[in-house]
Amino acid sequence: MAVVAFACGADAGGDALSGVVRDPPLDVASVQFSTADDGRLIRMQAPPGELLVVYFGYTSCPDICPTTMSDLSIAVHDLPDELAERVTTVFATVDPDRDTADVLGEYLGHFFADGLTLRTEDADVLAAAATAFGVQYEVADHRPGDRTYEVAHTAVTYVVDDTGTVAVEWPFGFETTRMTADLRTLLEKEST
Amino acid sequence: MSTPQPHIASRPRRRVRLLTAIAAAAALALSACGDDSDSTSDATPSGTAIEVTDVWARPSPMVATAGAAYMLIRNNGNEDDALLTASVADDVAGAVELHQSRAVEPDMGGDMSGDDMGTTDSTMAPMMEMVAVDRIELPAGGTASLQPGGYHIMLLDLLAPLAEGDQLELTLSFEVAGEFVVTAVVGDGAP
Repeated sequence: MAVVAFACGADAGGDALSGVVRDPPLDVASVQFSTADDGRLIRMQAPPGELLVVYFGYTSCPDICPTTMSDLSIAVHDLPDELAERVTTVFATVDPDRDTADVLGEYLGHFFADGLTLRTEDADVLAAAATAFGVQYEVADHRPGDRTYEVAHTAVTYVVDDTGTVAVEWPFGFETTRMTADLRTLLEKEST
Repeated sequence: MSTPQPHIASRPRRRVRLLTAIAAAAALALSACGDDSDSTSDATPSGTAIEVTDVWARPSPMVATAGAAYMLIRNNGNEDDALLTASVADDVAGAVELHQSRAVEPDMGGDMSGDDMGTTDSTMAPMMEMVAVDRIELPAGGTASLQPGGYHIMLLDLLAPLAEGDQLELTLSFEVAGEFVVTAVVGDGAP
Protein backbone atom coordinates (compact mmCIF):
# COMPACT_ATOMS: atom_id res chain seq x y z
CA MET A 1 0.00 0.00 0.00
CA ALA A 2 2.73 2.43 0.93
CA VAL A 3 4.62 1.56 -2.21
CA VAL A 4 1.63 2.37 -4.34
CA ALA A 5 1.11 5.66 -2.54
CA PHE A 6 4.68 6.72 -3.12
CA ALA A 7 4.52 5.64 -6.73
CA CYS A 8 1.56 7.95 -7.15
CA GLY A 9 3.60 10.97 -6.26
CA ALA A 10 2.64 11.66 -2.65
CA ASP A 11 4.75 14.25 -0.92
CA ALA A 12 5.47 13.52 2.70
CA GLY A 13 8.39 15.87 3.18
CA GLY A 14 8.79 18.97 5.29
CA ASP A 15 8.21 19.97 8.90
CA ALA A 16 5.07 22.04 8.39
CA LEU A 17 1.72 20.40 8.96
CA SER A 18 -0.06 19.66 5.72
CA GLY A 19 -3.58 19.39 7.13
CA VAL A 20 -5.81 22.26 8.17
CA VAL A 21 -4.53 24.34 11.09
CA ARG A 22 -7.03 26.75 12.58
CA ASP A 23 -6.24 30.19 13.83
CA PRO A 24 -7.12 30.47 16.62
CA PRO A 25 -6.88 26.76 17.36
CA LEU A 26 -9.87 24.85 18.69
CA ASP A 27 -9.66 24.11 22.39
CA VAL A 28 -11.56 20.91 23.14
CA ALA A 29 -10.02 20.11 26.52
CA SER A 30 -13.25 20.87 28.33
CA VAL A 31 -15.31 18.51 26.19
CA GLN A 32 -16.56 15.54 28.13
CA PHE A 33 -17.75 12.40 26.48
CA SER A 34 -18.55 8.93 27.76
CA THR A 35 -16.77 5.79 26.65
CA ALA A 36 -18.99 3.24 24.97
CA ASP A 37 -17.62 0.38 27.08
CA ASP A 38 -18.24 1.53 30.60
CA GLY A 39 -19.72 5.00 30.31
CA ARG A 40 -16.85 6.66 32.12
CA LEU A 41 -16.42 10.31 31.23
CA ILE A 42 -13.23 11.23 29.47
CA ARG A 43 -11.89 14.59 28.42
CA MET A 44 -10.72 15.35 24.91
CA GLN A 45 -7.10 15.70 25.85
CA ALA A 46 -4.34 13.25 25.02
CA PRO A 47 -2.14 11.81 27.78
CA PRO A 48 1.20 13.64 28.08
CA GLY A 49 3.30 13.22 24.96
CA GLU A 50 0.51 11.51 23.07
CA LEU A 51 -2.16 12.32 20.47
CA LEU A 52 -5.82 11.52 20.06
CA VAL A 53 -7.14 11.10 16.52
CA VAL A 54 -10.85 11.87 16.81
CA TYR A 55 -13.59 11.10 14.31
CA PHE A 56 -17.35 11.49 14.61
CA GLY A 57 -19.09 8.85 12.51
CA TYR A 58 -21.45 5.88 12.51
CA THR A 59 -20.90 2.24 11.78
CA SER A 60 -23.73 1.78 9.26
CA CYS A 61 -21.85 4.11 6.95
CA PRO A 62 -20.54 2.02 4.04
CA ASP A 63 -18.35 4.52 2.23
CA ILE A 64 -17.05 7.58 4.04
CA CYS A 65 -16.44 6.14 7.52
CA PRO A 66 -14.69 2.89 6.61
CA THR A 67 -12.62 4.75 4.03
CA THR A 68 -11.54 7.22 6.70
CA MET A 69 -10.85 4.51 9.28
CA SER A 70 -8.89 2.50 6.74
CA ASP A 71 -6.85 5.55 5.77
CA LEU A 72 -6.18 6.39 9.42
CA SER A 73 -5.13 2.83 10.08
CA ILE A 74 -2.63 2.99 7.24
CA ALA A 75 -1.37 6.37 8.41
CA VAL A 76 -0.84 5.28 12.01
CA HIS A 77 0.62 1.90 11.14
CA ASP A 78 3.12 3.57 8.83
CA LEU A 79 4.63 5.26 11.87
CA PRO A 80 7.48 3.55 13.70
CA ASP A 81 6.06 1.46 16.56
CA GLU A 82 7.39 3.78 19.25
CA LEU A 83 5.48 6.67 17.72
CA ALA A 84 2.36 4.70 16.75
CA GLU A 85 1.86 3.58 20.34
CA ARG A 86 1.50 7.23 21.35
CA VAL A 87 -1.53 7.65 19.09
CA THR A 88 -5.04 6.61 20.13
CA THR A 89 -7.85 6.64 17.60
CA VAL A 90 -11.19 7.76 19.01
CA PHE A 91 -14.45 6.97 17.22
CA ALA A 92 -17.43 8.90 18.57
CA THR A 93 -20.77 7.74 17.23
CA VAL A 94 -23.39 10.22 16.09
CA ASP A 95 -25.85 7.31 15.77
CA PRO A 96 -26.11 5.77 19.26
CA ASP A 97 -29.39 4.01 18.43
CA ARG A 98 -27.73 1.59 16.04
CA ASP A 99 -24.20 1.82 17.42
CA THR A 100 -24.27 -0.08 20.67
CA ALA A 101 -21.11 -0.48 22.71
CA ASP A 102 -20.54 -3.97 21.29
CA VAL A 103 -21.04 -2.82 17.72
CA LEU A 104 -18.68 0.09 18.19
CA GLY A 105 -15.99 -2.02 19.81
CA GLU A 106 -16.02 -4.62 17.07
CA TYR A 107 -16.18 -1.96 14.39
CA LEU A 108 -13.20 0.06 15.52
CA GLY A 109 -11.37 -3.16 16.41
CA HIS A 110 -11.45 -4.02 12.73
CA PHE A 111 -9.11 -1.08 12.13
CA PHE A 112 -7.31 -0.53 15.43
CA ALA A 113 -6.41 -2.94 18.20
CA ASP A 114 -6.39 -0.23 20.84
CA GLY A 115 -8.93 2.34 19.71
CA LEU A 116 -11.39 4.09 21.97
CA THR A 117 -15.11 4.29 21.21
CA LEU A 118 -17.36 6.99 22.57
CA ARG A 119 -21.12 6.86 22.84
CA THR A 120 -23.78 8.79 24.68
CA GLU A 121 -27.56 8.59 24.65
CA ASP A 122 -27.71 12.14 25.93
CA ALA A 123 -28.34 14.21 22.81
CA ASP A 124 -27.14 17.37 24.54
CA VAL A 125 -23.80 15.82 25.48
CA LEU A 126 -23.27 14.62 21.91
CA ALA A 127 -24.26 17.99 20.47
CA ALA A 128 -21.95 19.86 22.82
CA ALA A 129 -19.00 17.64 22.00
CA ALA A 130 -19.61 17.82 18.27
CA THR A 131 -20.05 21.58 18.33
CA ALA A 132 -16.76 22.02 20.14
CA PHE A 133 -15.04 20.35 17.18
CA GLY A 134 -17.14 22.12 14.56
CA VAL A 135 -18.76 18.82 13.68
CA GLN A 136 -22.29 18.81 12.30
CA TYR A 137 -24.53 15.80 11.97
CA GLU A 138 -28.11 15.01 11.04
CA VAL A 139 -29.71 11.69 11.80
CA ALA A 140 -32.88 11.03 9.83
CA ASP A 141 -36.07 10.36 11.74
CA HIS A 142 -36.41 6.73 12.66
CA ARG A 143 -38.22 4.43 15.04
CA PRO A 144 -36.62 2.18 17.61
CA GLY A 145 -35.27 -0.88 15.88
CA ASP A 146 -35.04 0.69 12.43
CA ARG A 147 -31.91 -0.49 10.68
CA THR A 148 -31.84 1.66 7.59
CA TYR A 149 -31.91 5.42 7.79
CA GLU A 150 -29.68 8.18 6.57
CA VAL A 151 -27.06 10.00 8.55
CA ALA A 152 -25.18 13.06 7.34
CA HIS A 153 -22.11 14.15 9.21
CA THR A 154 -18.91 16.12 9.03
CA ALA A 155 -16.26 13.73 7.76
CA VAL A 156 -13.23 15.48 9.19
CA THR A 157 -10.59 13.85 11.37
CA TYR A 158 -9.20 15.87 14.30
CA VAL A 159 -5.82 15.39 15.93
CA VAL A 160 -5.91 16.48 19.57
CA ASP A 161 -2.69 17.03 21.48
CA ASP A 162 -1.88 16.72 25.18
CA THR A 163 -3.09 20.25 25.88
CA GLY A 164 -6.55 19.49 24.53
CA THR A 165 -5.99 21.57 21.42
CA VAL A 166 -6.89 20.44 17.91
CA ALA A 167 -3.42 20.57 16.40
CA VAL A 168 -4.44 19.69 12.87
CA GLU A 169 -7.47 18.38 11.03
CA TRP A 170 -7.77 16.34 7.89
CA PRO A 171 -10.68 16.50 5.46
CA PHE A 172 -12.08 13.36 3.91
CA GLY A 173 -9.74 11.87 1.33
CA PHE A 174 -6.58 13.39 2.77
CA GLU A 175 -3.52 11.44 1.67
CA THR A 176 -2.36 8.89 4.21
CA THR A 177 1.29 9.74 3.70
CA ARG A 178 0.56 13.34 4.66
CA MET A 179 -1.37 12.17 7.72
CA THR A 180 1.61 10.08 8.76
CA ALA A 181 3.91 13.06 8.26
CA ASP A 182 1.64 15.31 10.35
CA LEU A 183 1.48 12.75 13.16
CA ARG A 184 5.24 12.36 13.12
CA THR A 185 5.76 16.12 13.21
CA LEU A 186 3.38 16.55 16.14
CA LEU A 187 4.74 13.59 18.11
CA GLU A 188 8.30 14.76 17.69
CA LYS A 189 7.28 18.24 18.79
CA GLU A 190 5.54 16.90 21.89
CA SER A 191 8.50 14.81 22.94
CA THR A 192 10.92 17.74 22.89
CA MET B 1 -28.12 -3.74 14.46
CA SER B 2 -28.83 -7.42 14.84
CA THR B 3 -28.25 -9.56 11.82
CA PRO B 4 -30.85 -12.02 10.65
CA GLN B 5 -28.71 -15.10 10.64
CA PRO B 6 -27.75 -17.05 13.76
CA HIS B 7 -24.52 -16.12 15.39
CA ILE B 8 -21.91 -18.64 14.37
CA ALA B 9 -18.20 -18.74 14.67
CA SER B 10 -17.27 -19.23 11.08
CA ARG B 11 -18.37 -17.17 8.16
CA PRO B 12 -21.05 -18.65 5.94
CA ARG B 13 -19.84 -19.70 2.55
CA ARG B 14 -20.30 -16.73 0.36
CA ARG B 15 -17.63 -16.97 -2.26
CA VAL B 16 -19.19 -16.86 -5.62
CA ARG B 17 -18.48 -18.64 -8.83
CA LEU B 18 -15.38 -17.16 -10.32
CA LEU B 19 -14.72 -19.14 -13.44
CA THR B 20 -14.54 -16.33 -15.94
CA ALA B 21 -13.37 -13.68 -13.58
CA ILE B 22 -10.03 -14.88 -12.35
CA ALA B 23 -8.20 -13.74 -15.44
CA ALA B 24 -9.69 -10.31 -15.02
CA ALA B 25 -8.50 -10.11 -11.46
CA ALA B 26 -5.01 -11.12 -12.49
CA ALA B 27 -4.93 -8.49 -15.20
CA LEU B 28 -6.09 -5.84 -12.80
CA ALA B 29 -3.42 -6.76 -10.31
CA LEU B 30 -0.88 -5.37 -12.74
CA SER B 31 -2.23 -1.89 -12.53
CA ALA B 32 -1.03 0.48 -9.85
CA CYS B 33 -2.60 3.88 -9.34
CA GLY B 34 -5.65 2.89 -11.36
CA ASP B 35 -4.02 3.43 -14.72
CA ASP B 36 -4.46 0.43 -16.87
CA SER B 37 -5.50 1.99 -20.11
CA ASP B 38 -3.67 -0.64 -22.08
CA SER B 39 -5.72 -3.51 -20.78
CA THR B 40 -9.20 -4.58 -21.67
CA SER B 41 -11.23 -6.22 -18.97
CA ASP B 42 -12.46 -9.60 -20.02
CA ALA B 43 -15.54 -8.90 -17.97
CA THR B 44 -16.66 -6.84 -20.93
CA PRO B 45 -18.44 -8.84 -23.60
CA SER B 46 -16.93 -8.35 -27.01
CA GLY B 47 -18.84 -5.94 -29.17
CA THR B 48 -19.99 -3.68 -26.37
CA ALA B 49 -18.63 -0.26 -25.68
CA ILE B 50 -18.51 -0.57 -21.92
CA GLU B 51 -15.25 -1.39 -20.18
CA VAL B 52 -15.13 -1.99 -16.44
CA THR B 53 -11.85 -2.11 -14.54
CA ASP B 54 -10.44 -1.67 -11.04
CA VAL B 55 -13.39 -3.39 -9.41
CA TRP B 56 -12.98 -3.66 -5.65
CA ALA B 57 -14.84 -3.59 -2.38
CA ARG B 58 -13.56 -2.59 1.00
CA PRO B 59 -13.37 -5.22 3.74
CA SER B 60 -16.28 -4.70 6.09
CA PRO B 61 -15.98 -4.88 9.85
CA MET B 62 -17.69 -7.94 11.35
CA VAL B 63 -20.56 -5.87 12.71
CA ALA B 64 -21.10 -3.72 9.64
CA THR B 65 -24.35 -4.32 7.80
CA ALA B 66 -23.36 -2.27 4.80
CA GLY B 67 -20.48 -2.33 2.36
CA ALA B 68 -19.44 -0.54 -0.78
CA ALA B 69 -17.96 -1.56 -4.12
CA TYR B 70 -15.99 0.67 -6.44
CA MET B 71 -14.88 0.53 -10.07
CA LEU B 72 -13.95 2.48 -13.15
CA ILE B 73 -16.43 2.33 -16.03
CA ARG B 74 -15.51 3.56 -19.47
CA ASN B 75 -17.91 4.05 -22.32
CA ASN B 76 -15.78 3.62 -25.41
CA GLY B 77 -18.74 3.77 -27.76
CA ASN B 78 -20.48 6.53 -29.64
CA GLU B 79 -23.73 6.25 -27.74
CA ASP B 80 -24.53 7.63 -24.31
CA ASP B 81 -25.22 4.96 -21.74
CA ALA B 82 -25.89 4.77 -18.01
CA LEU B 83 -25.49 2.32 -15.19
CA LEU B 84 -28.99 1.62 -13.91
CA THR B 85 -28.70 -1.14 -11.34
CA ALA B 86 -26.30 -3.56 -9.75
CA SER B 87 -27.03 -6.81 -8.01
CA VAL B 88 -25.28 -9.57 -6.11
CA ALA B 89 -26.21 -13.11 -5.19
CA ASP B 90 -28.89 -13.44 -2.54
CA ASP B 91 -26.44 -14.88 -0.04
CA VAL B 92 -24.20 -11.81 -0.17
CA ALA B 93 -26.45 -8.87 0.60
CA GLY B 94 -30.12 -8.18 1.02
CA ALA B 95 -30.17 -5.24 -1.37
CA VAL B 96 -27.88 -3.30 -3.66
CA GLU B 97 -28.25 0.36 -4.51
CA LEU B 98 -26.35 2.96 -6.47
CA HIS B 99 -25.26 5.68 -4.08
CA GLN B 100 -23.37 8.91 -4.06
CA SER B 101 -21.54 10.44 -1.14
CA ARG B 102 -21.42 14.18 -1.47
CA ALA B 103 -20.92 17.31 0.52
CA VAL B 104 -24.13 18.86 1.80
CA GLU B 105 -22.81 22.29 0.90
CA PRO B 106 -22.31 22.45 -2.85
CA ASP B 107 -19.07 24.43 -2.76
CA MET B 108 -17.31 21.55 -0.98
CA GLY B 109 -18.31 19.07 -3.64
CA GLY B 110 -15.70 19.72 -6.27
CA ASP B 111 -12.37 18.99 -4.67
CA MET B 112 -11.90 16.81 -1.65
CA SER B 113 -8.37 15.84 -2.43
CA GLY B 114 -6.96 18.12 0.22
CA ASP B 115 -4.48 19.76 -2.08
CA ASP B 116 -5.42 23.28 -1.16
CA MET B 117 -5.21 23.05 2.58
CA GLY B 118 -4.30 26.14 4.44
CA THR B 119 -5.23 28.09 7.48
CA THR B 120 -8.93 28.51 8.02
CA ASP B 121 -10.99 30.22 10.64
CA SER B 122 -14.38 28.80 9.76
CA THR B 123 -16.06 27.25 12.74
CA MET B 124 -18.38 24.54 11.52
CA ALA B 125 -17.29 22.06 8.90
CA PRO B 126 -19.70 20.99 6.17
CA MET B 127 -21.36 17.61 6.32
CA MET B 128 -21.21 14.75 3.90
CA GLU B 129 -24.32 12.82 3.07
CA MET B 130 -25.11 9.75 1.08
CA VAL B 131 -27.95 9.67 -1.40
CA ALA B 132 -29.37 6.93 -3.58
CA VAL B 133 -29.17 7.70 -7.29
CA ASP B 134 -31.32 6.30 -10.11
CA ARG B 135 -28.53 6.12 -12.62
CA ILE B 136 -24.88 6.88 -13.16
CA GLU B 137 -24.39 8.59 -16.49
CA LEU B 138 -21.85 7.31 -18.99
CA PRO B 139 -21.65 9.78 -21.86
CA ALA B 140 -20.17 8.50 -25.10
CA GLY B 141 -16.41 8.44 -24.73
CA GLY B 142 -16.74 9.24 -21.04
CA THR B 143 -15.76 7.60 -17.79
CA ALA B 144 -17.58 7.11 -14.51
CA SER B 145 -15.29 6.68 -11.54
CA LEU B 146 -16.94 4.90 -8.63
CA GLN B 147 -14.61 5.67 -5.77
CA PRO B 148 -14.61 6.36 -2.01
CA GLY B 149 -16.34 9.63 -1.26
CA GLY B 150 -18.24 9.65 -4.53
CA TYR B 151 -20.38 7.24 -6.48
CA HIS B 152 -20.38 3.71 -5.16
CA ILE B 153 -22.39 0.53 -5.23
CA MET B 154 -23.81 0.10 -1.76
CA LEU B 155 -24.42 -3.38 -0.45
CA LEU B 156 -27.12 -3.31 2.22
CA ASP B 157 -27.91 -5.98 4.78
CA LEU B 158 -24.69 -7.87 4.26
CA LEU B 159 -25.18 -11.49 5.24
CA ALA B 160 -21.52 -11.87 6.10
CA PRO B 161 -18.56 -9.53 6.33
CA LEU B 162 -16.55 -8.82 3.21
CA ALA B 163 -13.16 -10.27 4.02
CA GLU B 164 -9.85 -9.30 2.52
CA GLY B 165 -9.15 -11.42 -0.54
CA ASP B 166 -12.77 -12.42 -1.10
CA GLN B 167 -14.13 -12.05 -4.58
CA LEU B 168 -17.59 -10.85 -5.18
CA GLU B 169 -19.63 -11.10 -8.36
CA LEU B 170 -21.59 -8.00 -9.29
CA THR B 171 -24.12 -7.96 -12.09
CA LEU B 172 -24.25 -4.54 -13.67
CA SER B 173 -27.17 -3.44 -15.79
CA PHE B 174 -26.60 -0.70 -18.33
CA GLU B 175 -29.31 1.15 -20.21
CA VAL B 176 -27.84 0.42 -23.63
CA ALA B 177 -25.14 -2.22 -23.18
CA GLY B 178 -27.32 -4.49 -21.08
CA GLU B 179 -26.09 -6.74 -18.32
CA PHE B 180 -22.74 -8.11 -17.55
CA VAL B 181 -20.90 -9.50 -14.61
CA VAL B 182 -17.75 -8.17 -13.01
CA THR B 183 -15.79 -9.44 -10.04
CA ALA B 184 -14.84 -7.21 -7.17
CA VAL B 185 -11.77 -8.14 -5.19
CA VAL B 186 -12.08 -7.28 -1.50
CA GLY B 187 -9.15 -5.22 -0.32
CA ASP B 188 -8.08 -1.73 0.64
CA GLY B 189 -7.94 -0.37 -2.87
CA ALA B 190 -8.21 -1.29 -6.53
CA PRO B 191 -6.45 -4.62 -7.11
